[in-house]
Amino acid sequence: MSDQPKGGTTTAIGRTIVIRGKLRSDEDLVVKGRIEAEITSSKGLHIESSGVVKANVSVQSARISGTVVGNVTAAAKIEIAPDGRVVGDLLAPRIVISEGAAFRGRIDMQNFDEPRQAAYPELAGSAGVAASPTDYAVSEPGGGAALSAAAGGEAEDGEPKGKRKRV
Amino acid sequence: MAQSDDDKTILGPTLEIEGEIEGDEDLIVQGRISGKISCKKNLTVAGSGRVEASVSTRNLSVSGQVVGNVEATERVEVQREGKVIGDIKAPRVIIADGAKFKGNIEMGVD
Repeated sequence: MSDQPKGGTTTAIGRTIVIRGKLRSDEDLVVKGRIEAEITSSKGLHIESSGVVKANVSVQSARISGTVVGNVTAAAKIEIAPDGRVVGDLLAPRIVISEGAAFRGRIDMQNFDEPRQAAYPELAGSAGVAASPTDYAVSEPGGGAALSAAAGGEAEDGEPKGKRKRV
Repeated sequence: MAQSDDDKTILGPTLEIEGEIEGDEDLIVQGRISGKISCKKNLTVAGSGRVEASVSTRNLSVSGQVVGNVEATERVEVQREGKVIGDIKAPRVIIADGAKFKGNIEMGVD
């Protein structure tokens, strides 16, 4: 349960389930089965390692441990876990592809200048000051936390990847 | 990774599916489904569930609303709060006091 998206209700689509057509949701979605239906959700999508999605996906955030064939659009973030496989185009302000993940397609982080400044306002403030690489690493608490969380999730999957944690 | 979820799928209240669902596990519908449902185990349409589909399953229990024909290999039960519009074909059909139903019922009696 701990690796499921937090908050509100969650729909878990079981291993033997096959859905074709169109799917809309305002709750977190965990996919363990097979979906050949266009997914539109205002919340998170987690495709577990047994999950297969063959359609376009448009969600708030996506974490892919299974297989996706189709374009993925996320308002916040797309993460392909080490056991994830994606064939299609990704569109999101933040995209993570973990070591071991398989991906073929295009990536568009949109106007990536804007979200970066929003995410690290302290950088924007000190833009005139020459920031050394270490300064940059220290002054990104949001990114650091997300990375540690991702590393934690991988450890659960039985693949400790402590070295991936950024210092 | 909750093991208890493994043979049960709950389609939550905000979920809308247009199309086809197939499954070999218990299915609980709290949202909206239109199209076709084939479930080899137990299908439950909860109070908030709205199904506009042809349904084939083993057991069906309706507390919500079903519009469409239903075929069950074992049993169909329309609960007190349930509403079904469509034909039901099943060896055993239960319609509770207070339930709403419109359609034909075939229990396969000769």
